[in-house]
Amino acid sequence: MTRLVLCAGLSGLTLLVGLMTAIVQSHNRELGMQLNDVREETMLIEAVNAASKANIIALDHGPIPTDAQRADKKLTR
Amino acid sequence: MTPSEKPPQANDRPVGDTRASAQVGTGASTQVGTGASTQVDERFKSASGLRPASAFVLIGFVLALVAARAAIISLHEEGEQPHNLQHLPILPVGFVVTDSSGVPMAGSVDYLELDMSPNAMWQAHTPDAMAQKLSVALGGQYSPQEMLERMLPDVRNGRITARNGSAGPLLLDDAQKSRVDAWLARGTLDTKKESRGPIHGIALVRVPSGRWQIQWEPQVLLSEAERASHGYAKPLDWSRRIADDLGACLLGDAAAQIDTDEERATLRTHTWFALMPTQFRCIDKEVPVACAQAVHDVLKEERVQPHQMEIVRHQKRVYPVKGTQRGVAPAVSVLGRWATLEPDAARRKAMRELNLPADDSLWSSDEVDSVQKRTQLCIFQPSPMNGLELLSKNVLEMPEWQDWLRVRGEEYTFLANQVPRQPRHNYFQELIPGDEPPHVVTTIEIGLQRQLRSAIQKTMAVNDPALVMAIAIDVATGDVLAVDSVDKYEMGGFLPAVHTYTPGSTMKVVTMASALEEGVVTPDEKIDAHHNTFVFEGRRIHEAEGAKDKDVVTAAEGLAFSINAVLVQIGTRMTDVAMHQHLVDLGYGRAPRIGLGGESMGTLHPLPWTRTWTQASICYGHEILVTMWQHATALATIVRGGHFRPLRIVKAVEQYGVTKEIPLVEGLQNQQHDTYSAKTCQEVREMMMLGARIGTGRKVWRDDIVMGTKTGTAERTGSELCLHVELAHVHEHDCHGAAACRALLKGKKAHNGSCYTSSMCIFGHRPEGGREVMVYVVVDEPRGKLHFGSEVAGPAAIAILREALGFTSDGEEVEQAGPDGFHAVSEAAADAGDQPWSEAVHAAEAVHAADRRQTGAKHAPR
Repeated sequence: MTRLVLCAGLSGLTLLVGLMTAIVQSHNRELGMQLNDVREETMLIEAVNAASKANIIALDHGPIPTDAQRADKKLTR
Repeated sequence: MTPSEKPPQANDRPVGDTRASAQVGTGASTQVGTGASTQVDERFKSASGLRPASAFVLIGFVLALVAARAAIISLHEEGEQPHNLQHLPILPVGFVVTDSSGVPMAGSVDYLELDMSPNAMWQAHTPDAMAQKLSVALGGQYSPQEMLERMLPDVRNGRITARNGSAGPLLLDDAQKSRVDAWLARGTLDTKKESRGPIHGIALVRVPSGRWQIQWEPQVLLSEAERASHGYAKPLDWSRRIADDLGACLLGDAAAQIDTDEERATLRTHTWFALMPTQFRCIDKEVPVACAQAVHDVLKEERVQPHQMEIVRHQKRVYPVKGTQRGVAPAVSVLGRWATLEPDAARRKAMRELNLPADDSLWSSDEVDSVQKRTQLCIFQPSPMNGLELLSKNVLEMPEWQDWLRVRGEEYTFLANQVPRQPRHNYFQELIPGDEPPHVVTTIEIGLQRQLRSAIQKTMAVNDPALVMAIAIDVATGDVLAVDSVDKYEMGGFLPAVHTYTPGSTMKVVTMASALEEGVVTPDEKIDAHHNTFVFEGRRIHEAEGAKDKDVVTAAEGLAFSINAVLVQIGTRMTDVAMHQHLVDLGYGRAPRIGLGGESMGTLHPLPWTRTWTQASICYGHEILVTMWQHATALATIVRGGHFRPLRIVKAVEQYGVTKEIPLVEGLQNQQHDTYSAKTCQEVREMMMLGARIGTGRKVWRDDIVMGTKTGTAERTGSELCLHVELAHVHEHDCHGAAACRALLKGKKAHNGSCYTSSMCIFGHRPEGGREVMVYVVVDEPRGKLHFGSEVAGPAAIAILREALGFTSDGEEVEQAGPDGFHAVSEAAADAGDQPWSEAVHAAEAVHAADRRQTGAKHAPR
């Protein structure tokens, strides 16, 4: 009887572990796909940000005007 | 129990009598029950009559067969191990080049490229639909028709001609033609199947050889309407049908022998490849940042696979301070550029890097592979070629940084799993972020650099020379604050280190310093200048215009007024060995090894010199060729006080907020002892200051700067080529100054009068102290009315010096602070704050202030 119970328990646990593994694996795969999508979008955003930053820097705001230049500009307006 | 009473054995009864067996067994256990061994035997009796050992053998045999098959598959049969774990290509970590205060001058930024494989894409998607959607996603940058043209690169005049690989168009014989015609007319090869009408969009065209070409219109054949008319919902099914049927038509009876999926797939692939040959096409070199997300969404929504079309991330170099106008020379040409190499040059570079002999028959197969890989890399992957870009790359590769710098690129690992007949799915595994790009901090001051550029461009416009070069140096450290050049003939290379010229009278500074150091003259010694009639050992020494009226002068005045006769008399008092040694110590006659790309060594005649000609000529800067870098280094050494320092243009490396300074070079041979003493250099400085006050530099004299000058006006001899003629010829014929061409050009001139190299060296600091800056400007062959150094190069030199010392900012005069350190500013200037939102208020206040001033109203000073 004891042997029967142990064997049944072991079989049941084995099945349970197999089932749990399958569930976890499936969940992991799902997460992996989601993370891959997120990563793709992040890459896109990073590239867009980098390109935007480069564009802004390339605008070349020039040197900061001197007080005299500022005053001249004001008065000519 | 007697032998006759023993229980019947399984073998004693007929096979298959299970009931009897069960009864016997049961009976045995209940009736006999005399011993444990007998019980076990009874329990394990086989119901089938087979002994257990036979069953085990059978199972073992089957397992062995399976194992053998598995072993054959895995070890013997050809095939590829699936590599599901994949890595995205690692983008190398770039570097940022900054000016001395951290303003980025060059850096790598990401950009997105839209790439596709027309061959893969149009097997599974409809051209019209994709063109419409992508056109919208790209913000209307391209119309749907333009998108189609880009995405169907094989189309000519609306049609694609099927190709037979690289062998040209696919040609059909009459039998093939008739089979294809029948298929097109009926719409199917299956004779039992009911025809759904002809297939549109494919035509057979006869060629002069009498054979037939397949020409097809992808917009028609792959359209949704055509697909639907033949009962196919999915583009992939339709394209496969086309490829399968067309392949069968081409093969004829041989098609019947195809019976495996692999053979069928191969035929389909080949047929589709003939119909749509292009495997790669860049649709948009740079997807606008505002559209990237929309394009990504379209690709996702349409389930476009990466091998069909994808947005690919690349890196490019950007130069924020270079300016973006096409045709305008870059504002910071010293930055250099990145480029790819031509195949030959790439192979030579690969061989050089691997230290391989020129004879490739001596290479091992590994070396051949290595050369091929490196060559491909040089051809397809841009790398720094010259300028600060090249220098920065080399600095970062120096061994002393290897333990500290981190240059690991971003690594993305994913599982790419594909179930047969299903799209591939990628599963995230690991993402290791890339390191922060290191910053290479240069000594360049970007504001000063702009002004230097502006000044030499102005000089170019006014004097029309072949080229102008200028450099500004922090005297104490030898740091290059700004350096640039402009030329008329697209000479290429970093001219301050490449272009050689006759330095002329600026060389007198070196002659005088050498003579003082050798003790052959004192500053106050009186020397006869001979009124422009000096004959040195039978050779007539000519003077420039301003020095012709001088009689007896001191040695100091001789330098200040740049009198050739005086410097020849002084310089020839030294031995040629002593003078030559001073020049060698200052770096003349050898490449400075700056690291910015190509360099010239200049020309310093080897000893012995003829006293009357070579030595006398070198005394006033002739018979010697220098680069601007060499000469500026030498002049800065004298102005500094005699200690040689190679000019420095990169001063630190930064990463993750940590800055590592690059120490000033001190270990050179000519730094072990100073070639000139401080006293000698001080005396020469005073002579140059005299020259600035009353001598050849008086035209640029400013009393608000403690300054010294030396001008140079070298007239070319008749044997030298006119630089304009030579450079124009080289530019036109790309002959790089071949001897035959030089002979051809001799005597020709591109302007009236003599050819001059005008230059000016000027150093100075503010009266109250602060850093001292030396500026050196070279104008080679000005074609305007002026040719003296002070007139041609002087205005640019003083403008650059004033900017470097803070008297001007961005070329505009800066109001100087009072003794208390405060500026006196007008009310309008004081009000001109950085609050753009209050501009209207400030404007109104300015108007009121003006009114009050007019009415004499008093108001409190700010």
